[in-house]
Amino acid sequence: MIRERAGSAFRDADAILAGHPGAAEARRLIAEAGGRFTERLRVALAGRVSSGKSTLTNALLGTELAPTGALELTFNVSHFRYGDEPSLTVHFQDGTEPRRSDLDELARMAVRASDHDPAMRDLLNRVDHLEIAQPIPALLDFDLVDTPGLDSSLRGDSANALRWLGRSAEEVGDLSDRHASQADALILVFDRGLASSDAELLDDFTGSGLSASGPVTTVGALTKVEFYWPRHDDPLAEGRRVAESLMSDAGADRLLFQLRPLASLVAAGAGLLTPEQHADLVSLATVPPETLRKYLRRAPHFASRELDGVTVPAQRRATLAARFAPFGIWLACGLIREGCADPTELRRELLDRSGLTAFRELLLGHFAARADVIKLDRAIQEVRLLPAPPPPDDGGRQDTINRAVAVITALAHQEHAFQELTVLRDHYAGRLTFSAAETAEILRVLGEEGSSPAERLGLPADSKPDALSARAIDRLDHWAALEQEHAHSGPSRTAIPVVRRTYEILLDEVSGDDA
Amino acid sequence: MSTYDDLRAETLALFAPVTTAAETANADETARRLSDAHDRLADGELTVVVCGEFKRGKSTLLNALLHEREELLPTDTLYATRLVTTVSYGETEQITVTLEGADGVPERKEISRADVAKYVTESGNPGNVERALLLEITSPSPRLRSGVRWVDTPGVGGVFAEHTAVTMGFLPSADALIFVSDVTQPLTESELTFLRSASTAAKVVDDTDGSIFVLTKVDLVADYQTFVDSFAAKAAEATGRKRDEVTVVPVSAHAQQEYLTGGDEADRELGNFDALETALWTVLNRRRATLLLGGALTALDDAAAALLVPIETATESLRRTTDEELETFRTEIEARRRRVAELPKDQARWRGELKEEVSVLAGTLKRRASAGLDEVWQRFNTDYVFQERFLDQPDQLIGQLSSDVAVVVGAVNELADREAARILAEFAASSSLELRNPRFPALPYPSVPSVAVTGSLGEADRPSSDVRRMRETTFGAGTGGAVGAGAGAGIGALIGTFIFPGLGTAAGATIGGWIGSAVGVTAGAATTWKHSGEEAKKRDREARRRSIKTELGGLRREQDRHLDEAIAALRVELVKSITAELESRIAQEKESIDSAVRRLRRSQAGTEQEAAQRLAELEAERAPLDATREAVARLADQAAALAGPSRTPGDTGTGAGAGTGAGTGAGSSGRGRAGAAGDRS
Repeated sequence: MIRERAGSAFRDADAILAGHPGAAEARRLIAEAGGRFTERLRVALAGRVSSGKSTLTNALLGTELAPTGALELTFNVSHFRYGDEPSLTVHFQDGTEPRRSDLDELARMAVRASDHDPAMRDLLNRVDHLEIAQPIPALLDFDLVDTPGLDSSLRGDSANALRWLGRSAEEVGDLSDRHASQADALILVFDRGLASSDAELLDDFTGSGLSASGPVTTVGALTKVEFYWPRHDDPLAEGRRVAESLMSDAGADRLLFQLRPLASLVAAGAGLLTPEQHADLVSLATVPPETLRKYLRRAPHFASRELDGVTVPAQRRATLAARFAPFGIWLACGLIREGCADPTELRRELLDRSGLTAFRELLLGHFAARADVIKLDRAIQEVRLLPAPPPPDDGGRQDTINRAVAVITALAHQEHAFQELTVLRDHYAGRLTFSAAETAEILRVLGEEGSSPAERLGLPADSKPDALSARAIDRLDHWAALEQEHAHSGPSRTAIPVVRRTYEILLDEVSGDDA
Repeated sequence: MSTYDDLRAETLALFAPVTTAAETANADETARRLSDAHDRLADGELTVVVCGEFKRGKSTLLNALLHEREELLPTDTLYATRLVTTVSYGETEQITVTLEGADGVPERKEISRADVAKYVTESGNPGNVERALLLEITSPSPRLRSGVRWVDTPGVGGVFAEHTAVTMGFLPSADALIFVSDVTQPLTESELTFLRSASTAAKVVDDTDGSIFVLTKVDLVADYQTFVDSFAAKAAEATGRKRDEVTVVPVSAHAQQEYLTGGDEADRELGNFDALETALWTVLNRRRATLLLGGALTALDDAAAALLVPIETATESLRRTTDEELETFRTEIEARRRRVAELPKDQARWRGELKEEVSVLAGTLKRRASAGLDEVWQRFNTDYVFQERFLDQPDQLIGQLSSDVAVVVGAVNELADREAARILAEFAASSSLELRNPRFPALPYPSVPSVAVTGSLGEADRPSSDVRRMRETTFGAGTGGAVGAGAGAGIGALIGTFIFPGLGTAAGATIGGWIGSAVGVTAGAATTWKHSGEEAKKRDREARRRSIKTELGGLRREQDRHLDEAIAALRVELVKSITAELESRIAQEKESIDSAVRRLRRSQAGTEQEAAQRLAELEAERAPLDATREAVARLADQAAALAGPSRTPGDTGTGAGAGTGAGTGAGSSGRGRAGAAGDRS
């Protein structure tokens, strides 16, 4: 397994460095990079200020953890990870020992920050990020990192809050950048795009330097699509139309693996559905649909007026509207009318219809399935940056470091998974010149459409092992022949033996099942 | 209370009897002046510019305001309007697109409604390969009848530098500015930058601001009030105004459309378009409606008064019973005739005085423009170079600077327009010319008609040849090299030709050239920069900041040079226009007094009985003129009431304008010109 081989490479490197006191710093950094490899995959959310990152974070967590309350706290990077005991750890920029406390500390910090407590300011000023641990099942698959925003131009209230903190917008932007680029994978959050053209919207991200890893490690979320309703009966469909245009016309496909529309408010609301809200929704579902629709398309009236045939008090309707957006209420009432009255079932349906379930699956399939490769890739990149120009008399220290680094970077050449990654990157960067059919085949066999052998071979899920082997052999022949032909040049020529090798490994795998 | 529409209709109706009287009296100059004044009111447009970031719902709002359910302006989730589009009244629907011709001279082309999206939207016309500059729509919609010209603009983000510059150039001459945002997404940085830039115009002109902030899509959000409050606070901060001076109108264009279709009062209430229209007309009435009405009413009163002189003279002569009395009267009239006849011969003297006045004004304009530019560059130094997006994409920064300059230039043009009106009025009264002067102290001074309209100058003196020459000079300077000329020429011509109509035509072209070349120069520079920018990434912001400051240092000098040229051109044109207007007035006066003299000669003989009959005839002759003057006086009061309670000029500014607070004592009656007047004292 790649994980074991990588682990052993890191141990070897450590052994090389162990006898050299001058290489202590390099040893520490390599150990850190290796350590990261054993941790959970780290997925960061990045996007412009107010693009709905925190709402999406809450939706993905299925609960409200992101500190959305006090403005002063939202300037921090929040790292959410699984932990049996809920806890908050404050990490500092100046290397001060991290401070660990219970999770209620977060609320207390928020209050003190809102009160502009000077001691709190001094503390917040030094914060690098907040680490929040919770026993939430959603965090078993990957850690989530919510960043304050790429847009360093924070104004108005935000500017005041920043002034109080003594932080600059640039600093916050840099912190966001750093944490986003340290993550293994990235979710780029677009709101519906207040930009002249889609291309401009993409510029926000391409200019940020975050796109270096490209579609292999980046997916996009088009949030707030619930506001397309009631102009569009199916806001998710409209969202898909917009997403498709972004991907194809604006070239987001060079940046993102996929761009998915999300009714993020609906999803976050569903995750936090209370019994009272559920009861209110059930009651609202008894209003004739066309009447309800009329009420909902005037949200301010829905939240404040007496409405014929509605028993839920205005105050509670206001809460519902704020939590779910009018579309969420409309969707929930429709589901309840169709018999989906049980809270658990309703929550699940809402998560499905808001696009969140599919989005989670995308994250799991795309990131989690190749987590090891992604993480190793990152570790290697970090280690590669290590060697500094050797000082004149370092007693062979640099040479030692170089040897240790080589042990690790060699993995990139030895591990087939890496070569696959290179092929994928070349594809997304537009460097491959294969036919459309061959391109589709490459993406498929490299697991971009699912990781099971049947999916990778483009066969039905219930295919017999014989059929799988037969297809694998057929494709293996095809790519082996291409390799002989020297039909391509450059990255495409390099890609051919990789794909051939992938089929060989796959053939082993399906034949192994056979045996 | 009467509306602008009513007053306009009533005023227009007053022209017929006076024109008939002028024709009967063979008062050609008076008839011509009446006809011009009539046309200026009839064709006079109230320009409302709709601005805001892309996808905020500007086009949807405009469709709703015009009661257009067929989507006169295309709207779609996918694409954004990316061309300046004007909508105004016309007998038939006609859609014209202006394309940039090969030599930079705009070419107009009529298209069908189905083709609109092809030119206006990004997806229909990616990268603007069609080189479209402007889209003009005329529609027979009754909503457009009162002469409002709506200008729908592309977003304010500065991506299409040229179009943003056009938008900004429009602003100062706009009679109202509707800034559109929505309650589902907070204000963006580019929106705030836009608001800051736009507020420069108000300072240069020293005017009460004409902007209305509209927050759309309130139907989608349950509690939008919090949003409105926070928006108002940010808008006030950006424009340097007090919180209560910012009018924010929350609306829903979709609820309004629902109301128009379904008639449900709840939709009307949520749509809140009544409040929007009220806010809009308050601004329009205050800023332009009174000016347009005042111009027509003044012209009517002038004409009626001029036509009354011969009638009154004849009446008076019949009333003089002794030969001695009659002789004295004749001597008086003859003396007046001689004085008026001398006026053209005095030209050298009063022209000298006029040139002096205009040169003082040019100084004021120059100071105001410099103050405006200072503000722009201060913003550059303290804000723009600290904005990440500008450091990353210097071409956007250039676009922003060009837009800012466009605002200043537009504002100078607008200020010149107003100041020219003041000079004309004051000059006529105080110079060696003793001309009749407008009698409506509550209304603004009527604008100076452009030379092209006045038509009393020889063909050779018309400004068109000037325009061409100026344009060639400006573009020929070629500051931006080939790229500059290419990117700048079209926009310069566009601004010169379409955006500054009337008075500022020559200056408009110069100014257009200036903006154009600024866009051009910098477009060239940006290409190099973008490249180096990508390499440097964001590693060393401070170094990039320094390099940007150094590279753009030259632009400021360039702007100053263009500014001098523009103001020089404006100065020539102002003298020309004011002279033409004064000459026309002298001609009218001469016509009037000559006619009086002729009548005096004819009305000598006769019995007492004949005299009584003649007096009765004269009484009948003057009746419609008297009635007109009475009606004019009444309408003038109503028009003044339209403007609402008088405001102190300059009280909304932040004191950045050169003359803020200095000019309230100039004794002028209208608004928005006191500051400049103060500069002179």
